[in-house]
Parts: sequence; structure tokens; C-alpha cells
Amino acid sequence: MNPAELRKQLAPLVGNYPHPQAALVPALHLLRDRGTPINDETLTVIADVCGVETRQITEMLGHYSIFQNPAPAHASLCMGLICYLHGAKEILDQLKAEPSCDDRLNHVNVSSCLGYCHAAPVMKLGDGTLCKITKSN
Amino acid sequence: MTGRIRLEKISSSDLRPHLHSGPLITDLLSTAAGSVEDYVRLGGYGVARRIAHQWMPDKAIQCLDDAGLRGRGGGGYPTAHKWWLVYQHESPEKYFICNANAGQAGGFKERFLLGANPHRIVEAVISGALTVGARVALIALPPQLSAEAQMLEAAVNDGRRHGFIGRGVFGTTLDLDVIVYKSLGSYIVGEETALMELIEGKVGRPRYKPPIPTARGLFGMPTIINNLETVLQAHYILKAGAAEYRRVGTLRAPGTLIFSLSGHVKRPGLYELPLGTRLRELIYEHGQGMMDERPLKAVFAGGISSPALGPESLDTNLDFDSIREIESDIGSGSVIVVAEGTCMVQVATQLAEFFYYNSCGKCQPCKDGTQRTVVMLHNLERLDEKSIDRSGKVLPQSLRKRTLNVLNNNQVGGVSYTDTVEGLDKIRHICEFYKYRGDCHHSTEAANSIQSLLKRFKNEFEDHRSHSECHHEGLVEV
Repeated sequence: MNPAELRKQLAPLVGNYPHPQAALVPALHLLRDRGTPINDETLTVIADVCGVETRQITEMLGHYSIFQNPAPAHASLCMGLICYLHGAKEILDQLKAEPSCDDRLNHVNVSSCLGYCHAAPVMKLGDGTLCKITKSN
Repeated sequence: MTGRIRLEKISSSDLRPHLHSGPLITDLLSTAAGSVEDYVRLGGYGVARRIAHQWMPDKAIQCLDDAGLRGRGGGGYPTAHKWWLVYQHESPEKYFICNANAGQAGGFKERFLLGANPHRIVEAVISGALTVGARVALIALPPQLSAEAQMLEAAVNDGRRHGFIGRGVFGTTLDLDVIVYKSLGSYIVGEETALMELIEGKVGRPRYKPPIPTARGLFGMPTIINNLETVLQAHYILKAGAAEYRRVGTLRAPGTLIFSLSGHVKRPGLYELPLGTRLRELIYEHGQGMMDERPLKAVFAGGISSPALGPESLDTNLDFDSIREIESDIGSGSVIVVAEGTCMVQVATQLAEFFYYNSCGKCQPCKDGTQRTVVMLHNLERLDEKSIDRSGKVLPQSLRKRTLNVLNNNQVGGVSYTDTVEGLDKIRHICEFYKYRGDCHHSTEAANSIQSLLKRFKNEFEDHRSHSECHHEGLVEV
């Protein structure tokens, strides 16, 4: 995407916020969702549109892992305390030890609490969520 | 290749928590509607309209004061006083933030509340913003709740179309904009000042207080930041009246709280119960008791950042003051139950890792201290070695911190603060060292949580120390 196009895309977004700086995180979310790579050129455009320094954006990108992995993991196993209490660690060990027929399960990431503690242990798989998973199922 | 692990169809109904409705949830569900027209037909936007047209804001704040509403985010601060502090400022720019960032294990009410009735959330935020005189209101929620964010955005657009949001709301001269703000799924961003930093386009790190947000908050302007449940409770009070609200709860903690019950209980779920309900009633009556009839070993009454309680606390009332009297915290009502047979050293290690990874790194005692706690918990059997907390062997290379006296990260070196004591006191002392040395409550909560487990389960920790292995049954497998 060329800088002029990017500027055109971000302009209405910035207009929604009381200060342009408030649009920085939503702008980064937008670029991430669209798979737009963030290089020096785009960085300059975002900094200019949002009224921040490029240093601030690079710090933000470095601090939050969500911006470092543009492609979401195929599967992520919740390792919050509740899932841990219900055996998530053992499930992770088993997934690592034994290959699965579903390839997505062979590349499982560990995530912080997914917010389904009532159905622990849970796993995000693609767009869906598996709940009350056990070693056997 | 066919392995043992296969995927089986799992019912989506499992994703819905068991629900016990009280006045707030009943009202929330009874006015839930697909369209804004239906919502208005069911009496929706009545409170916001009344505040815009008839009520003076101080009347609304007086109503909250009469009801005795206290914040549901953990602090228990009187909401009426907080709102009054911003209302009485003659600033041209004020903000109202509804904080729906959770991120802490055990808290799962936000997903339900946001999805149950998005129009009600938007109305509650409008009512709050109009009361304090804010012209911009934000509903901040983490990226994990993107489906709920879309529903809220649709509700905001509906409100804008009907003249409830924008220029001249409800036909008055008041302007109000409502923004659905997708924050970042980090635990520390749930802290009020960290969220404000993030909205200002900076990394979400908590600010030193004072100044408090009601004086200098978002963009240096007076700001109300309330937990999602608090905003909904305030709206319910303005709708039903203070007297109706006070019908349940206690004198100093009126009303209800939505408890997120999870852990080793038979029926985890969301339970809206009057404040002052006994912990025993929540776990054994509503939660139907312990899983596999195991005895209760520990309970975190206010989520993982609250000190652990034991079975002797089961008859404690669940309200702000009673829980504080036994040196714990009710937090936002996330009650986590742990059954006998669970290795508490593993639980403590898991918690210590959580606190370390979620420390933002702004205050070095917090980041460094939580790391040293993790290192010592991983090396319990070597705890008496000199400067063991500085070994850093258990952490991956990328996560190790360089320290002044350690030239080679793989070797223990230098003198550590913990060398003045022996055994488990080393962990206790390092916790005491960083407990009050942070700009926010993260270090305090981390230290209190680990210290409470060390105190309560001392024998278990000593077993690990002397035998290098777990003599308990380990984690309960379901």
C-alpha cells in the first residue's frame, strides 16, 4: 500500500477520536487485521497522521506481542490459573509428545486467560473455541 | 498421521456460563432487544433521556450516594463521590471511560455483560457521561472481545442515528460522542492509568498517583474511569431508585455483585448475589459444592491477585469490609476455588510467573522482584545456596535480565539482598522488598498473593525444599 492510500485510509479513523494520538492503537489494529506490513514508510505515515513520534510507535510494536505476530496462531491453549488447575499443562505436554491427526493441534501456542474460566480448560482453534477439553478428547 | 488426540464436536452451549440472576441481570435480560427501536419500546434510553432533560446532574449523583454504590473494580471507592469530583470541575473537556478490560484469570463476566444487552451498555455509558458533564465517552475492551466490540459499535451507530449520541443529544444542546475502543489484551492495561496512557498513544504503563484521574486523567483532563459492572449498577440505581437498590446487601455494602465462580466447583458460573452473602453459600449452595467431593483447600475471593483464604474463612461475608478484615480483597468478585490434592507450590509458581510476565517493566523493583520470586520458586531445593535468586537459570535466555554484579548469566554471583536470611524467608523477604515499590498495585498484589501462600502452606513448601519433589497428589485432573 502506498503512503497516500494509507493516509487516506487512516484519516477517517483519526477523525473519530478527540485527539489524533488516541487513534494510534486502533490504527495499528486496523493495519494488523488487514495484514499491512509496517515498514519505515508506513511508520512515518502513521506517526504523522496520529501526531506521535515514530519512536513511540516502535516502542508500542516492540512491547506488545499482538503486533509482533501478524498471523494469529492456529491453536492457542489457555494457561490461566483456572485452566492450569484443570490440567491444561498436562494437555499441553501430551500435545507436544503425541502428534495429532489435526495438524493445527501440532502447533499449539500458550495463551493467557481467554475468559472462559467456567468451561476450563479451553483452547482457541481457528475461529472457534473448544471447551472442557481433556486428554482423551 | 493418526495420533491419539482427535477433535470431537463440543456443544457451543458449554461456552455459556451458568447464570444466577439478581436484580441487575434480570433487568439487563428483560430489556435485551435486537434493534434499538425494540429496546426503546421496552423502556430503553429512558434514564439517559431523563438525565438529559429533567434531572440536574447533582440529583443523579445524590441518588447514587443514597444508594451507597461502591466501585466493583476492586477498590470499592464510593461511585457517587468519584462522579461528583469530576462533575464539580469546570473543565471544558472531561472524559468518561467504561473499563471492560479483564485479563485476569477467573474473571469472565465481561463477555456475558457486553453480549447480553449492548444497547443497555451504551445507554449506561451515556447516562454516566451526561451526569458528570463529559463530552466524550469511551468503552474500552480487549481484542479478545472483538465480537462484543462489533455489537457495541452497531449499538452506538443505532444510538447516533436516533439522536442519542452526537450533537444535541435527546434534542437538547448537549453534545456527546461514544467511542468503542479496542485496547490490547494485556492484564496491566486493565489498570486505570495504564489504560489512559494507552489511549494517549503510549505504552500502557500505570502512572504514579497523585494526581488521581478525577483531577488529571485522560489528556490531563478530569476523567471518570469505572469498571463495566459499576457503570451498569449505577444505571440500574438511576432507573430503579436508591431505596429499591438498598433492599439487598448490607448497610455499608448495599446491592449485589456478580461473582464469577470457577475452579474446583461442580457448577462454575456467574452468580449475582447480594453483597454480604457467605462464601460457604456461594460455593456449596450455588456452586453445588466441591468437585469429586474433595475438601476445600484454598480460595481466592478476589481473583488471583488477592491473598488466598482457607476453609476457616468459609463463613466470612462476601463484602468489601469483611473480606479486608481477614486480610484479603474482594476484587471484582472472581472467586477461585482450589480443592485438596492440588499442589500449592505449583499454584504459587504459576501465579508468580503470571505476575512477572505481566509486570510492565516501568518500576524495576517490581519487574526484578517478581522475576527473582519465580527463580526461587523454581529452585526450592537449592534455596539455601548463596544468591540463588540471581541465578536466573530457569528462565529462557531472552527473558533474563542483566544485573550489575552478574557478568555471566549462567553463574550465580554477587551479593543478594536475600543472603541475610535463610530458607523460605528468602522468598518472603524479597516479596516484602518490592511490595510497596511500584507506581501501581501490581507489586503489592504480587507480593501479598505469594506471601499468603507461603504462610498458609508452609509445610508444603518445606516438603518441596527438603525432598525436591512433590509429596502431594498434584493437580486435580478432570
